[in-house]
Amino acid sequence: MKSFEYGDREVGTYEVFASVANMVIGFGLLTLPRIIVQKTHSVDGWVSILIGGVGAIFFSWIVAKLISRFPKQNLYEIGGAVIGKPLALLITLMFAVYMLAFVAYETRGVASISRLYLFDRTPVEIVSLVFLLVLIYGVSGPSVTLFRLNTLFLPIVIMLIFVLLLMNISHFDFHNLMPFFVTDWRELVITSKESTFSFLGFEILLFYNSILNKPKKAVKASTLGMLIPLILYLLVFLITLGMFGAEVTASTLYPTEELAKQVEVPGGFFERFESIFFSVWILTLFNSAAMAFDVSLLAIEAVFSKAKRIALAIGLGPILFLIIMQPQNIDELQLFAEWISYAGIGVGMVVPTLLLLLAILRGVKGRA
Amino acid sequence: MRRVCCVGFAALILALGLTGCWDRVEIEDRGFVVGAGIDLADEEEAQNGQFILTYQFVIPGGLQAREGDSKNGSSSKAYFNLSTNANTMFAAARKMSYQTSRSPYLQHMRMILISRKLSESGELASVLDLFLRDHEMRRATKIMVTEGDAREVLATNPKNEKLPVMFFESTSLNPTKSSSIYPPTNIGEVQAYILSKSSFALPIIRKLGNEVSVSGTALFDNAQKLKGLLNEEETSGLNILRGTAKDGVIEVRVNDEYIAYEIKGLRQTIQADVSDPEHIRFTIHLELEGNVGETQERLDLLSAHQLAELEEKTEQKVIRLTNGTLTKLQQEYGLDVIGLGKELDRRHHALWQSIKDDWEQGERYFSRCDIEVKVRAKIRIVGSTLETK
Repeated sequence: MKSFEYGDREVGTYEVFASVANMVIGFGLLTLPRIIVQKTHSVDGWVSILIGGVGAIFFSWIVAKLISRFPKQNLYEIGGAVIGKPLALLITLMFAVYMLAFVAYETRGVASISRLYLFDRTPVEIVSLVFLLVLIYGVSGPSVTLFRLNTLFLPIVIMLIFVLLLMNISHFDFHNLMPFFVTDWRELVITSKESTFSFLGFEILLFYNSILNKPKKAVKASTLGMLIPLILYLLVFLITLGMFGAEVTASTLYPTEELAKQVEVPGGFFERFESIFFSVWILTLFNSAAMAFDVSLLAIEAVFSKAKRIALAIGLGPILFLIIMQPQNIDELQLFAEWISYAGIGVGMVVPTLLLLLAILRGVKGRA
Repeated sequence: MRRVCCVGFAALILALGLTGCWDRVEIEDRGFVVGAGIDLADEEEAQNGQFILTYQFVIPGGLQAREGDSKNGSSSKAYFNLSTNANTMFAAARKMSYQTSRSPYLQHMRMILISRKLSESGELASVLDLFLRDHEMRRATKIMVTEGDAREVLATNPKNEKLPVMFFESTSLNPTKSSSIYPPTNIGEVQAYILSKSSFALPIIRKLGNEVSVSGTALFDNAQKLKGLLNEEETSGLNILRGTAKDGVIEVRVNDEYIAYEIKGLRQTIQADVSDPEHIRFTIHLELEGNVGETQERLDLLSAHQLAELEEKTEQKVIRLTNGTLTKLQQEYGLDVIGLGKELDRRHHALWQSIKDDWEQGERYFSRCDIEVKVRAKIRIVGSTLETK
């Protein structure tokens, strides 16, 4: 019997499950229904989400397999063992840059959407800066704290989405979902690419390997963790379409946020559900961004072992701020998101697959 | 010492962050807008802008003022209206800030009234853009068409409500009592109609002297142009056809006297036979459930035979009612506001894709299709007394 379970600096299966789920649920959920339905024009888009989700689960399984083959080692060490130090160095730095770009994107996303719905006059720069400062504070401590925070936030976020969907159920019109199966299957497969973008995030495990206390169970935990966003995305997609119909969803910038605005409790004393939705939403965005920041710090520390964590976090701040301020409008922000997503597919899916294949072929095994 | 300085400096910097909120607006400074009216400007006014936007503001003090509390001289009106001209709604709303001490705040907007003239000009979609685009707006805002000028309607003094808009809103929710009011349609639904390029209907509100009445339906074609109006009778036919008349009264004539059939439930199903696309046949099944609300004739309401006769009479009446509406929709306006096209889209998607451009215009398939209404009316309750005379 353990007298003090959380005294160590390691995380168990539940933390991994919650963190993978929270990392993946991010900005994507707000825009996903629109992006999918713009391409498929009908409710059949759920097939695309399913294909994208199953594909992402497959790759998260590969990542988990890879790290359970090399217990307690991070990407840099695994890469070093399989393909040699110089290449591993390159991959690790790419990973760090990708994660930093991801942080910048999430921050900018929070700032832009809060500008649109909450603060009319507060400059985007200020909202970004404040969010960034909190992020720096968040990553100054050990990574384990972020994991614990995830276990705290995930139930709140899931509950919120269910409350949102339940409160809208009276407006739900099944007729809006018809007709089914009218979209060409090739189109559905191509569209699944868009949904894959929303499932990125599981690759953080490549650097959190060293703090997992049961690396063997990581496979199951991360797969289950990926199921949460898959189910939520499908539910939100179907309900949004049932509420608004395909045409309106396709022309609404943030359909999920509109869903929150639509909530009306009879009696008129509780009208502004979107402010609650938004506040809780920032919890999960904060977690995604903080973990991404943390992972990029871990990646840099892996390469430059002498770097001091806090100094690094503060030093990267201004650079991040400059990246955050680069996109000028929503179009450029989307382009930015697309680049990041391609980078994510590269370092989160292709690289681990290659590493696992090479490790199996060459018979390289971890220390344990 | 250095440490103390550092901490002190940090505290000073942090204090800067506490100076306040950019977007703070005190609740006393907000002018709550509950409703809007949009009119088309006359020619002489048009140089200031083609649209006239009217906002109805709430005077919070007026809401609390009791009757007969007029000693202090201030009027106990709970609202005031402001109108401005502009070419865009946004500019009109901004101009309004010149005229009021409290800037308009639109989160609580309940209703938008569109004048008939504006609807006929086909500008509905353009004036509604702001109300869909702006983040302060909600998709649940209801839309109605006014027979005269929207600002006139907004300036009525309802008897039992402090705010005209609240009065209109409650009245428009009365379809639960009457089938001749077209159910309230909100801006989100209108956007769906506009985007899917289908024709639609909106309830009408008209001013009669100092009173306001909500009844009848305005029909819009797929270019959002007002094409025609339905009267009360036709509206209730439309409501029954659409299956939205869950409550309402049908007056049935039995042996020179009337009975009132109170609708308590309505189930509508549509079947389409598309074997010949040139001649699509629809069957609309309507299952009514209801009570006898009033009889003027001495009827034995406990006899099965008598009830069956009443049910049959009700069915005939409903068929007459709906056929009247159908003739008007198919022959006079050619507008499918029942949603038959949507039904085809759902059930016979491939066929719909090929004929949708010829549905209401071009080949006018809608006007040519056969629509048969089959009604089954049931009487459940006959009231608490058998005979009153």
